[in-house]
Amino acid sequence: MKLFKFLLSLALTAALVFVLETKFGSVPPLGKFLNPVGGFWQNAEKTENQFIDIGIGAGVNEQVQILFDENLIPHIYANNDYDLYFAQGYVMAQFRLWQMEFQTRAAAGRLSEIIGPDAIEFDRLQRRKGMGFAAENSLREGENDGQFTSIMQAYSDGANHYINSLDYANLPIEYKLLGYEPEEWSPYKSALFLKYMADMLSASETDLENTNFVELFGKERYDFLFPEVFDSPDPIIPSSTVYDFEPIEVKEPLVKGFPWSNTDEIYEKPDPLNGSNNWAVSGSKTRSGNPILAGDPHLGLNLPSIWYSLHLNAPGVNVMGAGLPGAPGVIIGFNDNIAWSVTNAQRDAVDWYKIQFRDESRQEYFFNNTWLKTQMRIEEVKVLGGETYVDTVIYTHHGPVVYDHSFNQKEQLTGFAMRWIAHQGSKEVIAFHQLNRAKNYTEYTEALKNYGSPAQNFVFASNQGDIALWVQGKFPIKWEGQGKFLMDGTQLDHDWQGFIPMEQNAHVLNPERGFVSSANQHPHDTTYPYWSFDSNFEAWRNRRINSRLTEMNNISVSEIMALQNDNFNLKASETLPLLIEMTDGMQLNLEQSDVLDLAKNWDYFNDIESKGASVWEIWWDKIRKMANEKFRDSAKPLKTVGERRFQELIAEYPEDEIFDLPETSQKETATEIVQQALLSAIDSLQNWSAANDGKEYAWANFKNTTVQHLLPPLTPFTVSGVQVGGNRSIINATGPRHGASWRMVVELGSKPTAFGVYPGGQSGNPGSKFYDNMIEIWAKGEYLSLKALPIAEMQQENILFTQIIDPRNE
Amino acid sequence: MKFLVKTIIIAAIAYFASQSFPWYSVVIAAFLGSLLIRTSGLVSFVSGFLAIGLLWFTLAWLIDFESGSLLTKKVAAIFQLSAPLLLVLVTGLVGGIAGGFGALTGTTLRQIFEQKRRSGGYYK
Repeated sequence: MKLFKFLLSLALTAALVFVLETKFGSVPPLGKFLNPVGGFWQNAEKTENQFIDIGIGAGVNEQVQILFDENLIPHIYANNDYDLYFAQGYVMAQFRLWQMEFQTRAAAGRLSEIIGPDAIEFDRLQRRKGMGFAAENSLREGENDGQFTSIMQAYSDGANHYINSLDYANLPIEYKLLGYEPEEWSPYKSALFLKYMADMLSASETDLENTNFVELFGKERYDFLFPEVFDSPDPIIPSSTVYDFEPIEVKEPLVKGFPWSNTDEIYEKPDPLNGSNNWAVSGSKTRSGNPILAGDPHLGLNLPSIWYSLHLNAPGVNVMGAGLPGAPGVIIGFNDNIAWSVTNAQRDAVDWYKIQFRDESRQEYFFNNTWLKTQMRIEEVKVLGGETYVDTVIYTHHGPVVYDHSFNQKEQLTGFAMRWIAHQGSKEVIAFHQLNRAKNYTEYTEALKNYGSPAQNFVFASNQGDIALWVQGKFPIKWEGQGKFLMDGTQLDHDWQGFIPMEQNAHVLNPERGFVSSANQHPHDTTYPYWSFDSNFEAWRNRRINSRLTEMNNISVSEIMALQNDNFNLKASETLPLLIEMTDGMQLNLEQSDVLDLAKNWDYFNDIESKGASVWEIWWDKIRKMANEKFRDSAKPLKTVGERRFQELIAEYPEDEIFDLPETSQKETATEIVQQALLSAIDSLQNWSAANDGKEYAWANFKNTTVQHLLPPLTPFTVSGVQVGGNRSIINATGPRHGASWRMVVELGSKPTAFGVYPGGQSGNPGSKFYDNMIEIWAKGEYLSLKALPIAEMQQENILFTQIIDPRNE
Repeated sequence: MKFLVKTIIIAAIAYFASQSFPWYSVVIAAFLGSLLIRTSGLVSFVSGFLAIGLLWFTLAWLIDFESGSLLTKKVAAIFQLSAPLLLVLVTGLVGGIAGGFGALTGTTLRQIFEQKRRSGGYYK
């Protein structure tokens, strides 16, 4: 009996321990998780500064000192480049490890391993797009370049030095909640991360949607609704620029026949709102006589932030700015002599080829009158709590066949292969390494030669007084129309024929107007000798920036900051008066006409408190939605008409059939749509107030800008209701989930004066006050001062703590 | 008195053990405490429960206090608890139950040997 009691009690205890050590669904192992000594409690940082000066072991050639300032920005002082990148890898892992791993897992299509079967389709797509293939190619491209391999290895060694020091108690909380552990870092993971960025920035094309549109409505209608160039495009490279080079000739195909057949399902593309602003003003236009450079990349607003601010100092380099956790170097920043920033260069970097297989074995495909061999890549998607999903991806000389019989394509012998510039290897890491050290315009252009993808507009300013902007990337030479639609993969002359030599990329140095700028608009006017295309060009931010910079003189740093935070809505100012006119004769009740009056009296600034801005934004959205509904409801996925063209249609073609609602018998014009949309918008505004305790729909509240944790179900880690103005198409491009992910302003005097801020914080830990402390500063349009000082000039009182890495042989 | 000593001893072993061993070292601490000090099964359970429960509650509460609940309120919300203090309580409760069972197991083991020793003496 006693023995039985003991055994029963032992069994119960063992079962209990087992249960508390096991993850059930989304519930982490509770014993392990709740243990105050080792569980999530250890992620809670004390409100009082808990940092102490610490050594972090050995692993470098010479001692490295890392001073963390009051914003937790590391200032890394090393004696050689290996040690510098080692320390950068260490520090980024220390504060952003979970994010670094999660983003590279996402890139590689390995989320199912930690999330389960829900992520299988996502993982398959990542693998079918050839993300791993692309990263491998980058490493291969660099394998004979000692500098490249050394930088990548140093960063990886540093990250691993941190990872290997971890036990459960100091794992980032996301690992504890999801119940998994970090892997070792590697140069391959850094390469994957850079492809993750390339995907985010260069893959939001609509070639297949364009093909569908032509198939359903004809080419003429397509060309009418989707013109390649807007009226008054105000391109990045000023129209006064003369292109006096001999372009490489492009061979036009004899027959420009596109296959007008398509797939019923097209995967979701990256957010087309990923864009940015940057500009540099020459000393002739500034109060101090020094050039001033400004940059703000617009990306999805997430926590932990995509950016991490840092200062790197070693012999030959003293650079500060924003880096990307996962990649070595400073990506946007300044050094003692120059500053640079990037915006996305809009250029169709993905083309699709229709593949004709010989038979169902898919071992051969037809090309240039012969049968070529395919290659098969077996992709094993491991799944948490499920069976491994095995997918076979077929590769052609174009690239991976994303769509085939097993993925959104019904015809057995047809596939769509993806040609993407980022599939090719290139050494962006070297570009940034050299840019970080560049002293003048020549060294900046030398650095850019290594930069392939994702194509960016690199704005530049130096303390020698130069300002410049290069539209930089590897660009295929294309015949007019090439790659705009699904291409014929059997024709040689549908292939890319070569690349534009870098010196022929559109660029501008010290233009007469005294400034350079870019905001994702058309890169150049039609005098540029090569044809270029993109599905999505900005039409308002660029014009607002250029008109402001043209009229501004004697400019100060604070005026540049104000311009970065400018909330003027050029689009609304051009369109709203017309919409209001179109409401003439409407029968509105008192409440309704009060709402319309808000729009009538609005000053066109999307400021935090503005109610007029809310009326305009919801009204405009409803109008576009009603008109585009028929495209959205189509059985085949289509692109909706871009805002710029839509604005023109309302003004110039109000009787176009786009305004006709298919569900009614009479024919509607723009006026009816505008009127109906107004009533629906007023309803939405009133419903919003009713649902929010009668709160008034001030723009910031109505917009509800949200900085979301990378795992959206963890809502308590998300910050919402940020009080900030702006929206898409406005210089302050902050929308509900998207906006300036980093803002920087640098004046290039004898010593640089720099400012920066981003909507997040240096720590990735939701239990740290540095997790989101910059959001409020950012929302107010304020900045942190960025000082890239030598170690001797660092003020002790501004240092939170110091970390020291010792040489490995001591 | 014995109860109090036992509870304190279990808490002390658990505190030190869990600095370097996994969380379930607190269960073993309770088990060992029961082997050392004899009580009835029920008293043993309560003693283990209070020792580990209060230990975890106190440690968690201290962290919650020192961190101004910054993380605790977020994690509490993830588990749909309305207040950080509830998460501290749940932590204490989970620790307590684990400790209680550990202690009970120790006592039942001890009872086997006690019975043998006693019965051996009885029939001699």
